Amino acid sequence: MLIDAHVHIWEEDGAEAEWARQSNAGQMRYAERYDVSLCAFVTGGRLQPGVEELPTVEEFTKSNRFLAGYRDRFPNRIFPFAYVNPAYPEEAVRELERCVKQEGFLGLKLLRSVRCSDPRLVPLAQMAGELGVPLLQHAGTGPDVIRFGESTTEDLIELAQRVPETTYIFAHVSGGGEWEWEIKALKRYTNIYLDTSGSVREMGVTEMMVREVGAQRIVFGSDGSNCAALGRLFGAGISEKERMMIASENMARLLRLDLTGEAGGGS
Amino acid sequence: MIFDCHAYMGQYPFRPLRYNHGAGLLELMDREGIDRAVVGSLNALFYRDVQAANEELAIEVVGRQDRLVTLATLNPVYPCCDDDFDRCFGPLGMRGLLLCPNYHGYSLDDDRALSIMEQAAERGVPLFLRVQVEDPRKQHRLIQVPRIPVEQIASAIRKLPKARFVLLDIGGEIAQLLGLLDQIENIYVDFCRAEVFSYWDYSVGWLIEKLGVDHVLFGTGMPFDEPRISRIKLDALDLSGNERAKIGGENLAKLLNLNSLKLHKDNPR
Repeated sequence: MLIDAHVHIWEEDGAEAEWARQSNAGQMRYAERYDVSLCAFVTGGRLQPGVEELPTVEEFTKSNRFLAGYRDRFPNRIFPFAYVNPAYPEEAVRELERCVKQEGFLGLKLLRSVRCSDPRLVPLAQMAGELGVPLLQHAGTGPDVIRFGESTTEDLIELAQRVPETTYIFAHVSGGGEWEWEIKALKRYTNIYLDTSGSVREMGVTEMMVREVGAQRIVFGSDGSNCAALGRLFGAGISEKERMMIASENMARLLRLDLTGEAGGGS
Repeated sequence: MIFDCHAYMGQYPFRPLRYNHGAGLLELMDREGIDRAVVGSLNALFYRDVQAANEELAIEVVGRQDRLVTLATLNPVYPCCDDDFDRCFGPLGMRGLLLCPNYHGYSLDDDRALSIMEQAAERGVPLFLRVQVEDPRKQHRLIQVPRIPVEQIASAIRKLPKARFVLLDIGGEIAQLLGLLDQIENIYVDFCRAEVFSYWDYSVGWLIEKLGVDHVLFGTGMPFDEPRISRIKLDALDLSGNERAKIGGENLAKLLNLNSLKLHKDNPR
């Protein structure tokens, strides 16, 4: 069994409904084919390069409600993560608490509405820590990675130092950023895990992550590049023990899951 | 048979590579169950005189020609390119022409580029275009190399209807390319940047739908990129055995006319 730390699910309504249905179905085919449980989130609208994502409270609440329903359709495959816009600090905290306590969500995903070093994230990160759920943060390093509202590797380090009791996941080491920089920059921050997702297929990324930060802080992720993610996991020159830690054991520990079935976190 | 249309040997200046020489590449191919590979030179991207890189590559495959098929990287705006062409497709026994206009600083619309491509087409040599080597988002801060513009590729395809083009490491931009062309029968595409289940529009299924199963090629980008990714991709595709065999290697062997090829057994020097 694998646990994928980074999967977008899309609301199946509006102008892109058919595309969203097909996309979601593709991710479920991947999940079934390779026995993957998906840490999934709905980020309100289709991702397009350069498009600003500034969902309102109503929009991100609607996204989370859709995801709760989707999880009910595929309870063994979907591990839901709440998505909010930290530009609404009080509402974002309330929505995270509702999602975890009432809906049984297991994590928090933040994208690029607000850079994560912004002080408005502090209460949200604190709430994630209180609830015992990880915060998966979209971030990266590189000249073309950082666009409007996107967080740098150093933004996440700043947040992780400001709210150290929370566990963070740095999203998509293979997402197009300078992965060597990202890995070395995160090496010393033990409350930050690294997800392996992204479309960049370069050899050696997983090996460097294991060598520099240790297998115990790496979690498998795809972010839609499912075959790339599987190839980086199973092609990497690491031990089978390390591979199992990355494949599912580390994420299960973060989510307080018993791999025989029951979720313990938040519900 | 798994036949990879997209492999390299040589150095990359911005990070260390493993398996990037003849013996290492075969070791990696054995690990991944890849029988044969078309190999180009990474050094040829950076040498001023690219023929030196072709000579190195030819030496590196000596004794390995049953599994490694070489591409000649030529720079059509450099002096004596015709001589390099004759040597690569004569004594060095190379099977495809690789052009890298984005690294060598010319346009595919340049008459000298068109001339060398036309010569190759007349000899039945397929033309390989490496649309990108490294993802532009993470290139070295002082050396940013753009992808080959699709307008240039489209123009060359239109001007050379007898040529066969193999597009390596092309992503979603192929949708734009196909939109610029009326005839696409002479295009072959390396599937390395397409996914199978992805939420993005560009996928291997999309490629097969647009180009036909005879025009999609198994490619890895190894050892720059992780070859296991393409092995998993080929396995994940919902295809018949016949279709999988075509993409996995038969299409490429046919393109290179390798079924009837008597491989060079002697030292090419």
